Amino acid sequence: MISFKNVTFGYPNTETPVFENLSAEIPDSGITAVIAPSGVGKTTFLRLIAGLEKPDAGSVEITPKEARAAFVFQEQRLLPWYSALENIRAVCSVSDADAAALLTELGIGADLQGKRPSELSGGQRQRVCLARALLFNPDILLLDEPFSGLDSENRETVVEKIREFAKTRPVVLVSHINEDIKIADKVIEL
Amino acid sequence: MTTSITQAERPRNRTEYLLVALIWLALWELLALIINEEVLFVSPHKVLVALIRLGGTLPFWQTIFLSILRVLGGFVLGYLLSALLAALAFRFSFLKAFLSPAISVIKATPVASFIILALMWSGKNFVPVIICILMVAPIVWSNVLEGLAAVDGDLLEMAQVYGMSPAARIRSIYVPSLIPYNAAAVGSGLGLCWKAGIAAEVICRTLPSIGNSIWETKFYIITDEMFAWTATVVILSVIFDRLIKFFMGRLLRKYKTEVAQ
Repeated sequence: MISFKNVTFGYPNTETPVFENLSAEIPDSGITAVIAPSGVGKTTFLRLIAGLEKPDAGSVEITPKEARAAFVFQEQRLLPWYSALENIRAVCSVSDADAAALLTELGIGADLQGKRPSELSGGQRQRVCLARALLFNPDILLLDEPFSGLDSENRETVVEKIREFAKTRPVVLVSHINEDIKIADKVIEL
Repeated sequence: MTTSITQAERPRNRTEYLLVALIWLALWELLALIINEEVLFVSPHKVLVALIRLGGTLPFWQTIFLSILRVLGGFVLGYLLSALLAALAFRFSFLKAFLSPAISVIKATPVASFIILALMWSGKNFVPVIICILMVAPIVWSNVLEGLAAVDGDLLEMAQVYGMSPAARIRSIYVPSLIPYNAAAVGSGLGLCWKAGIAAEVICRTLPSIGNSIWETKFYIITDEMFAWTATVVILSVIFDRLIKFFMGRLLRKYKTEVAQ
């Protein structure tokens, strides 16, 4: 369970806080979508769960405390000097065969797995990021605009993978597209 | 920042390169003919003869080997030491504030002053090594600091989320990010080390050394050998410069950093 308890948070040198006394609960499994107008703090919500930001007041409680989160960032954040496969091997303790198998399932075939991020399209990079997150075998999956740049076929495959993961563990999804929100089991409005 | 040669600096092809070299050699030969005083100015073919004569002796190669050892040893030691200090200074701002004036002083002090001081403080065989360390330190210091400041914060955040170990972060993020900055530092640093290291050998009369050989040939007025020893330094400098550019070019290609996003 992930609980936001009266969380107040603001970035340094800004007058108004992003959140003031925010409380929310995310169930142990299923997909939770976070919706809000642009610039209201959807990504910050994920960053607080990932531990990249600390609340100014209140708390973000994660049970168990040692739960590992994987974050699919909006900006993808792949190591530009590594291939798709190497990007996964750099952070995940998996074999090349397992990494290659998941990449193939997500539509990144053997011909693309040895290519660097700069040689892949935006949608391909997005799927490499998702593969990296899933193969990390996290306890929580955080997704920031995970379907951007994906065509409908690849989107379906990715949704299927996320749903499979969400059967046993929590997925927190942030998106500004209504279609993306439809896959959620719970919606939190900020 | 890279060590690549711009199109303007590089002759367009091998023929052009050879032609330029031949023109310069012809001008040199012509100047020697005009001056017509071998004690002052030696023609290129006489330098070549002296070089071949020296090259046939074992002490020539022993001398070269020891000079290379001093210059490269000083360069490597200086590089490692200043890279380590720069990394620590990046992490601890007090250390950066503390060491920055020292680096500025090293940068501004004339090499000859350092050579004389180092000669007073240490044995003359170590002076070229110390001078090379001092020459390379400011270059590596500023390049490493600049490179560390430019490391992509988003990638470091990704590493934090995915729990990458410090060793993995160094290997997968810091080292590749620093390579373009290091390529520049290595190229210019080694060039400076050659010049200053040999100058130190001349002033200190380090034995045996290329610098001391240059000094002796000047003292005994063996001008053709003095030119030959100087040509040896130039050739060695060019060889090492090419080697560095070759290896750095390979590393830069391996870690080419087009940003994907």
